[in-house]
Amino acid sequence: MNWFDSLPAADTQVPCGSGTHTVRWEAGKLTLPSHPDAEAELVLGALGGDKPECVTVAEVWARHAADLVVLGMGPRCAADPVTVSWDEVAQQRGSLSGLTQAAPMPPGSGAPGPGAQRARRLAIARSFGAVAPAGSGARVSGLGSGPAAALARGMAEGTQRAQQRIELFQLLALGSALQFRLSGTVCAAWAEPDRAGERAALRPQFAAALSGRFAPAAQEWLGIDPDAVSVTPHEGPGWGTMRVSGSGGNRGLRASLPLGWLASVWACGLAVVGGHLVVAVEEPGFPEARVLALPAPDAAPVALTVRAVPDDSAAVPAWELCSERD
Amino acid sequence: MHSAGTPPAGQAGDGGYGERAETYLRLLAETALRAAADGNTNRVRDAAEILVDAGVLSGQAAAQIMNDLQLALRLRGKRDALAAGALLRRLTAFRPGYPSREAGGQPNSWRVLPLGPPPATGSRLMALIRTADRALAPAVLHFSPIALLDTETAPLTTLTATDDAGTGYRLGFPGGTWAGSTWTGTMALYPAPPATATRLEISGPNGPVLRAGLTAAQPAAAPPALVAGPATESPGERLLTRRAEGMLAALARVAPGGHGARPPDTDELTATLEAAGALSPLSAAPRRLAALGQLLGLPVEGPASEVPARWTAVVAHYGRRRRPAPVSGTGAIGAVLPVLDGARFAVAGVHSGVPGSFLYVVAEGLRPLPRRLALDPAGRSRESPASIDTGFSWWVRDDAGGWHLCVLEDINPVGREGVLTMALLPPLGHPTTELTLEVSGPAQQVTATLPVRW
Repeated sequence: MNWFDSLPAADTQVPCGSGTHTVRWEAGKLTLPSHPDAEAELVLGALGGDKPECVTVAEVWARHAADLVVLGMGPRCAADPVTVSWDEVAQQRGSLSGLTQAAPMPPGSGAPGPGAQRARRLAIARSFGAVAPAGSGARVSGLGSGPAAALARGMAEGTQRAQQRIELFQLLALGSALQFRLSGTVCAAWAEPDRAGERAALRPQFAAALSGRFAPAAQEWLGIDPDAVSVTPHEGPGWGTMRVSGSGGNRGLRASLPLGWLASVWACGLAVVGGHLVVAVEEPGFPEARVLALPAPDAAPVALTVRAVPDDSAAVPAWELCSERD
Repeated sequence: MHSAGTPPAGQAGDGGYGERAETYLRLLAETALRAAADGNTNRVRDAAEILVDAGVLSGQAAAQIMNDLQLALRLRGKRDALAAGALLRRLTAFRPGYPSREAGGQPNSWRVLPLGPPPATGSRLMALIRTADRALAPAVLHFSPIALLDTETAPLTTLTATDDAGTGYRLGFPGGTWAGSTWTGTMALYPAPPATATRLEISGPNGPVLRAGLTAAQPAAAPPALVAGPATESPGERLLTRRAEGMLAALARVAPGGHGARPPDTDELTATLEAAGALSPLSAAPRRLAALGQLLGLPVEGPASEVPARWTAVVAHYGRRRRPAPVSGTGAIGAVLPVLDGARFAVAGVHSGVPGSFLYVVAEGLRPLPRRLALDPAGRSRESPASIDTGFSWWVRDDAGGWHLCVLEDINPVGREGVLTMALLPPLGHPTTELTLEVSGPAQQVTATLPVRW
């Protein structure tokens, strides 16, 4: 059983070469139907050949499959569109190329190899006088000291940050459906049982990731003000806890949910189904899944069978109740 | 951009304040991203500044959260009016609870080179403090009025320094003030004199200006008694206390009868600090601040409690119509304090006269100066730094039991270190033989009893 079993395949279009190609997410993996031998193209790219944009996108996806920044930027709910166009990606690349004119980025390359990165860093350093011009015969001064070197280091770090931003933009440009799937991938990676120690060190970030996504679901479920909802990461057995405090305008909802909820429930569009809040997935599947859900905050969870409502345009499936077992 | 790169503040042994503060700020940022929100991040930014100010969140973490929020808003077609860069300039590398270290190594040790008995009159050093590659020496130099007649040459530029072995040192004067033919400020010696040097001489064209013996401390001189430990106040209480000290400092800067202090927005401060877990709802600190405001006649509302005695002493002094004149003289101290919340301090000495009493302190690892107080090319701040909150509270008690608040008066950067001139409020009324110093940071504090040699 995998968290993504409750998600159907999703396609998106990526500008690649002189046209656009389909990039497909299916069963937890990104596939490139237009590049049947992507591995060979990767090797050619590493050897200095042109790397197709589709291949670059697949590499970037893999690189960010556990990147928490994806959760910081990505959608919180279906009504939270995060829009990045491929033109914007090109614009960001253009800005970076302008910064590093001496060593322009190869066309279509979102992730240059180590050699290219070093060349770019050297070019930046040269522009600030920290390194003797290539072929000048002058002795290369060290990059580790002096104001020019510090400036060059700062520039190199700035370039790296810009590169990371471009990669993030590439991923978000894949569209809403893949944004949800990437968010699920990141959450699933961090929800692994053997990463409890790492999770403990990043509790503030996971609390924010959970609260930001659970709050809109709670609003849909109970009509509660999302600002009155907070979630803490739940560790250990069980699905977590749910508690309502106050009443009327002072009503608040405090929940604890495991990080895996974001992958198996939220990213699959299962958060609220038929007036129930889904707290766990017993048996993932598409178009039918079995879930544990709360009819009310103070009620015990009930097991439900839910079915996806056919809608090809939705980023994540909408679900309806099939039956309540007990 | 990668949040995982920031060590959680809670790891610094800060009692969990860091984790709660970071969680609070991140949740607040989430509210700014909601569909119903207008993209205004003022509330988040204000909270970030308060939490950094309270020392429960590193500037780096706060800046990163704000930066990520700006980008997330942009990706949703909402732009905040204030660029994240404006905040980044303010919130940089201040990391309470983290020791000051060289990149990848241990902190360089600072050492006070012991001075011999001070001369009865004339020029003198307060202390010679050896840092990584130099020695810093707050000093008072008396010049012959004849030497100052030569207006072609600035007198300080003609000075040379040599030790008893004939070794010369390059001299720098990062900051100081003239009063007639007397200069009071900081000298920097490059390199630092070795431990074997027994005498230092500063000379000008007309002969020696200062002779200082570098000998072992006098046997009678008691070593400074230092007690370091965690702060007794929570970070939120510390911030409120510092705001109160800011009001006291403002009081001292205005003419008698005038109003220099402005009441802080206690409600917002208190609400943010309580919500972030940095201040207990039962804490008396907000009531103390309110009481001080009421004592100063400021429009402060809310329940008040007793004002601490040391605050009252400052208010009482500056409330007088006729204030006693400060003592005149220079006292050598020379003591290195333990690292406090990542900052290092060495107390050089005290100089007192008509303008007031001033403590000279070599410092490293303070949070960056606010942009509005950037230094000019000569290294001096463009505006009076008296309103700068360094993140630390400094109080001294003289040997008669009188309390004095130390307020930053001037900063003279020397490389990565700086010499702080701190005004004592009220100034010293007599040549105290010892000063009991209390320095409190966001999470740590030290008390030191320091002998003063006038």
